[in-house]
Amino acid sequence: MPRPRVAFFSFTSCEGCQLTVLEQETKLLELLEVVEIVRFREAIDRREDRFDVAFVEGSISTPEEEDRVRWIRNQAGLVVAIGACATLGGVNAIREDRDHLDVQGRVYGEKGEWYPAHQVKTVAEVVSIDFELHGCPMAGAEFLDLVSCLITGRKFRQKGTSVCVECVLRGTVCQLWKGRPCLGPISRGGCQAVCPSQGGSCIGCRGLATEANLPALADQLESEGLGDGVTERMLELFNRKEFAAREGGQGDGKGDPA
Amino acid sequence: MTQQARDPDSWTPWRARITETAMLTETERFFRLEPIDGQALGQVPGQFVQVCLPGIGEAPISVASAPNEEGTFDLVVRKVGNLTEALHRTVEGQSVGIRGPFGRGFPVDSCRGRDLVIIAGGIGLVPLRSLIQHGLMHRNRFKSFSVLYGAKRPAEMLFKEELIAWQGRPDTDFHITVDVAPSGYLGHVGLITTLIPYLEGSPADTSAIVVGPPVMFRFVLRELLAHGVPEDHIWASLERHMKCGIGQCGHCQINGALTCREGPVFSAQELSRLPEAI
Amino acid sequence: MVMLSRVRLAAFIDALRRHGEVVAPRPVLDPQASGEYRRYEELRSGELPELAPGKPALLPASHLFLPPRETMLSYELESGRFTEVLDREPRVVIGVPPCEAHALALLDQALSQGVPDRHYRARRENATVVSLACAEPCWEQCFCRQMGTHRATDGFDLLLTPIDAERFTVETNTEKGDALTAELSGVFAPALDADRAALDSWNVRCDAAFGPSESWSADPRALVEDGADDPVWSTEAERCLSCGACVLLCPTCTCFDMVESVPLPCSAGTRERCRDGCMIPGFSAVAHGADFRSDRAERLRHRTRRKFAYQPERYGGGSYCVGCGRCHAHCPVDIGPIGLLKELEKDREEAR
Repeated sequence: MPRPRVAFFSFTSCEGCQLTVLEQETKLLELLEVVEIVRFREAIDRREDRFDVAFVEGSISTPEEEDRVRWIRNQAGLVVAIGACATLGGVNAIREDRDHLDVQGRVYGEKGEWYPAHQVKTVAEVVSIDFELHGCPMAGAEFLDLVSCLITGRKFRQKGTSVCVECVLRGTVCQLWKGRPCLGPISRGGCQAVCPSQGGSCIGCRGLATEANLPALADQLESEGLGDGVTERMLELFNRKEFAAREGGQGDGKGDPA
Repeated sequence: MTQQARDPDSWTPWRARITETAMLTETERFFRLEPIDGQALGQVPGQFVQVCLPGIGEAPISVASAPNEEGTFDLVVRKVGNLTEALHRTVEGQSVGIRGPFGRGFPVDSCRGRDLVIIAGGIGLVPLRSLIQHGLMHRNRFKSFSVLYGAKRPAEMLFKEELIAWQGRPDTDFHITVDVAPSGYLGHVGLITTLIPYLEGSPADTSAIVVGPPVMFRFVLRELLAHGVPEDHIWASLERHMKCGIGQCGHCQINGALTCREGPVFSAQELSRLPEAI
Repeated sequence: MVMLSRVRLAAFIDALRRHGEVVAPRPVLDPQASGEYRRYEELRSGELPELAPGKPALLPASHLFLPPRETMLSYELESGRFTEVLDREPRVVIGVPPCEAHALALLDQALSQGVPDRHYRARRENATVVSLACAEPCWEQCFCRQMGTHRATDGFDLLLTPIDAERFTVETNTEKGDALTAELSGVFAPALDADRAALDSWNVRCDAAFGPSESWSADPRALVEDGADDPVWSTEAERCLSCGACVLLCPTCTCFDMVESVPLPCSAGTRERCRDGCMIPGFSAVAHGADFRSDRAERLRHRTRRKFAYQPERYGGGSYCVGCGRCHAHCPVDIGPIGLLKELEKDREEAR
C-alpha cells in the first residue's frame, strides 16, 4: 500500500511549527517510512500539487491567503491546522481590535494600502478542517501521535485538560508558589507543561482548557497582588478571539472552547 | 488442543476470531466471535467484555448472547467512538482481543419460579438478548415469560428475524411497540409504559428486568411499582465510561459503587441508594 | 529495635544499594525557589539522603508505585500478540514520612482486593520502604494528627526516628524489615533501655508538637455522608478551576486513563495507563456525550465522599485522606478538606 502523500503549507506564521517537524531528528526517518513528503519548503525542493494530507501552518489574513487555503482544501483528503496561528489566530490576532489601515500604515509605511489585510482568521474559519494541533509551536510528540493515528486508524484524541495535569505530575514547583502569574489551570495541556517546568509561566498558547474558569483565576491572581487584570492581559496574547467571545470572562466558561 | 487457563486478573487479552459479521441497522453491526483457544467465554447473561484491537484501544461491550454449544458469543456494536468505529471496519476472519467476562449479570437464579418480564428500550435489547436466549433455553424455570420491546421506529429495530420467531412462540408473551411509524405500519405505536398494565402473571411474583435509556427507565420503574412489582425485583443495567472493566480505573463510579463490579446490573432498591445513578 | 548513628549513614546506604536503587526526597534545584521543595529521585553514586524534616515531597512516595504513566502491556500490530509488562525493578525508598507510609498501607489494602493490581504489586513487592518519623507538622497545611497518621504504624519495612542529632532508632514492621535488620547488624548498634526510654519521650513530645485536633470533632465520614445536600459544595466549587492538581497529588488516589502508544513506524505499540481523577472534566462522561458529574460541585462532593466514606467503606480501615495537605497547598484557589469539613460540621451544628 502506498504511503500517504503529505504536504506542508505556510500562511501568516513563523514556520516554527514546521521546524518542529524537522526537530524530531531521528524520528524523522521513521516518519519518512510511513509517509511520503511531497511539499515542505523548509526542507525540500520537491513541490507537488497532489497530496492526501495537508498540514497548514499560519493564520489566514489576506484575500490571497483565503484563496490559497481553499485550493488546499480542494486538493487534500485531510487538512490539519497546525500551531496557534492556525488554530487560534495566535499572536497575529493582537491587531484584532485596531484599525487595519492604521496597522498596515505602521508596518508598510506609505505603501500600506498595497498590502490588503483583513481580520485575522483561523484556518477553520475559512475551510473545514479535520484535525488541529495546538501550541506555539505545536508539540512534536503530538504531531507524531497524529501521524500514528492516521496510519493505524486510531482516533486522534485531543486533550482538553489543563496544563496543571502534566505540570503537577512532573513534580514541578508551581509558578503561583513563586509569586508568578500562570495560566496553567485554565489552559489546554498536551505540551507536557514545557514552560512552567522550565521556570516560565504558562501563557495559554494551546487555547483554553475544557470548563476553564476564567473569572475564578482572574480573581485569584488579582487577590494575590499579581496585578490588576493580569489574567486578561496574559490571555490577550493567544486567546484574544476566545476571550473576546466570552466578553471579559463573564460566566463560568463551561463548555468546549473549540 | 491443550487448554491454557485464562488469567482473569491479567490485562492481557486473549483472541477471538470474527466468524460472522453484518450490519443489523444503519448504525449497529453484529459480530459472532469464536475464541481461538477453543475455551468458551463462560458468561452470565448481562455481563460485558472488554474488546480491543492492537494499535486502536479497548472498550466495554455487552455480550448479546447466552452460552451455547458452539462456544461462540455475539456482540452488537454501535459506532460511537474510537474502538467501535475501528470494529466497524473489521472483516470476517479477523481477530480481536477480548478480556472478560466482567460485571454482575442479570439475576437469573433469583428470578426462578417467578413471572419473568423483560423490558427492552432501543439498544437495550442487545444485552437483554442474552437473557431472552437463556430464558427460552430454560423456559421451565419461569412461570410466565413476557418481553416488551420498544424501538424509536421500525427501521431501528434490532434482530428483526429473531423478533418474529420470538413473537411466534406460544410459551412467550411478546410485545413490540414503536414511538413513530410510517403510515401503513400495522404494529403497535406508543410508549412502552403503556404495555405494562397488560402484563401477564402476578405483579407480586414478577421479576422485571429493564434495559434502556435512563429517562425510559425512570418512567418504566414508576409504572412497574404502580403495577405492584416489588422494588427489589426490578433490575436495570446501567452504562458508564469504563477503561479497565476490573474495578481499578475509577471511571465507572456511581457514588460508592463500581458499575463494572457491583453492576452493570443493579436492583431498583440498590439504585434508590445511589443518587447519581439515573 | 536497633540504633543507627549518622556517622554510619554511608555504610547503611551502601548496604541498602544491594537491595535496589535507592530513592529519597532530594532538593529541587530551582533558581526561582528557595530550595525548600523536594522530589523523590534516585540518589547519585556516593550521595546520602538528608533524612531531615521539611516540606513533603511534591509528589508522594505512592507515585513511585503508581507512576504518572506506566506500560501495562506491549503488542505487535500484525500478529496481534499481546505481552504483559511488569516493573519488578528492586528499589529502596528512604525518608518516607508517616502519612505517606500510612497511604501505602491503605493502597496495599485497596489494590489487593477485587482484581488485584498486578502492576502496583510488582513494584511494591520489590521495594523496601524506610520511613522517617516526623517530630512536628511539616507545613501549615498538614492535618495528619486529625487523621491519625502523624505516627507511622504501617506501610513501611523499617522506621527511623531521630531521637537526637546523632542517632536514629530503627524499628522493624515486616519480615523484610526483620531480615534487613539482621543482614545489617554490622551497621547498627544494639538498643539499650535508655534508648527505648528516649524513643518513648520523643514520641510524647511529638504528640504534643502535633497538638490536639482543633479543626473538627465529628467523624469525617459521618459529616460527608450526612452532608450530601449541604451548600458548601457549591460555594466552594464556584471558584474551582478544575485544574486537577488535587487528585493527581493525592497519596491515595488511584484512578487512571488508558492510552495507546504506537510510535512510528507503527509495527509495535504499548497500552499504557496514566493518572486521571474524578475532579478533572470529562472523567465521568459516557460514549454518547452525557456526563453524570458535569457540575464542579458534584465532582467536589464526590471526591470528598470518596476519600472519607466510599474508599473506607469498600476497602475497610479508616479514612483514605491521610492529612498530608497537598491538595490544599497546591490548589490555586485554596480549596481543601479542612475547610470543607469545618463548614459541614458548622452547618450540622446550626441545623440542630
